[in-house]
Amino acid sequence: MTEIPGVLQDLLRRTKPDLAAPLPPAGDWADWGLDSLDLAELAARIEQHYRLDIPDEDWRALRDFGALRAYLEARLERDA
Amino acid sequence: MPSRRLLCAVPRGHAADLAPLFAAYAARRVEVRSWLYGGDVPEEPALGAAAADCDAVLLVGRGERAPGTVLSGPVLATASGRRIPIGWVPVVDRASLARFVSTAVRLHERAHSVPSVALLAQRHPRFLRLTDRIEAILDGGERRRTVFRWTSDALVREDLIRALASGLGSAIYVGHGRPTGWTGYYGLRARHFDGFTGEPLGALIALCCRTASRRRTRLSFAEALPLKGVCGAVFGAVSATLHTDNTRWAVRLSDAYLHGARTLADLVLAALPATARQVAPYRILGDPLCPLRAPARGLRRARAVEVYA
Repeated sequence: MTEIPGVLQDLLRRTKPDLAAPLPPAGDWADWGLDSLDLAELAARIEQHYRLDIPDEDWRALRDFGALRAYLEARLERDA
Repeated sequence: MPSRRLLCAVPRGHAADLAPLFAAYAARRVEVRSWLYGGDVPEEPALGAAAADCDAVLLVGRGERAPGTVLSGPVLATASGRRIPIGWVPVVDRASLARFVSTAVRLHERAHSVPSVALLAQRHPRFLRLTDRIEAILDGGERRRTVFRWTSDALVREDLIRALASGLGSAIYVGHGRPTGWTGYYGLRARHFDGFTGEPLGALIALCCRTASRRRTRLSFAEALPLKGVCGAVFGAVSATLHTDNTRWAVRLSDAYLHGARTLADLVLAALPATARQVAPYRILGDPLCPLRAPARGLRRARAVEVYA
């Protein structure tokens, strides 16, 4: 589980190469310049990396980096 | 040693029609296992068992069967659980089957030197933005593609049809779709390709709803194009799709291009999501081993296409 933040930051950078720094856990995606297309791309990259499905209704509830990290930790633990 | 193995299930009466394609496969070191069947189209479990050591399946069958009922997706599970791409070719009449075969042969026989993609989209901010993003992904990485932007704001329908006859390796469309065609380009239908001449496109990826559905149409748009000799294969949906899912497909397909996919089968396998929800709407219509690379002259013709900047 410890590698999740690093993987997410890497996938974020691939999605949005001009992101200045690692994202802090709090703060809405829009505050960091991520729009709906960026987020759909990020979802695709996360799904492909972890080989899982993130339903749209789950994804819409993940408002920031911290929530996404917690969601992934729970999903990966459940699916393990 | 063959580079790939293909299972081709074909009605007994049409085996001879496929012979030129089998010869073209052999020249590309693709070993063909033919399954000449009588009666109805074989079911997926039987195909999966027969394709145990194959890399792809080409299923040819009577034209009354629709893509949505003959196959459950663009891939088939073999007996060991491995997933391999499967393409469907409906036999509507001998002439259209011969046109598909000669197009597929032409695609396999031509030089495969240039990886190239045409980006097609309906004129709508949402789809044009997605196209921007696909273009940006394809422009990155070490293995860059040669990308042509032929979206609906840059080309009218007639010009697009001429452009698609340049002979590129592949094209991706994003926008709205229907069983009869695309909403983009002021309505693109299969009949607009009647009398299509020129160099065929490799694979056409249609990331939109229902272009492989038979609802209220005798033959879907996605089935018609390979039978008209426009392209070797179409990747299209038999049902409604979500824009969010298609965006995810677009990202994965773009990455798969960058990782060096050489055939439609490579592309689909590399971009295949973990979830059945995103896979289930799609089918491959035509040759699953359709090459994605094109000869340099195809690129020259594509560069000569005039677009509104």
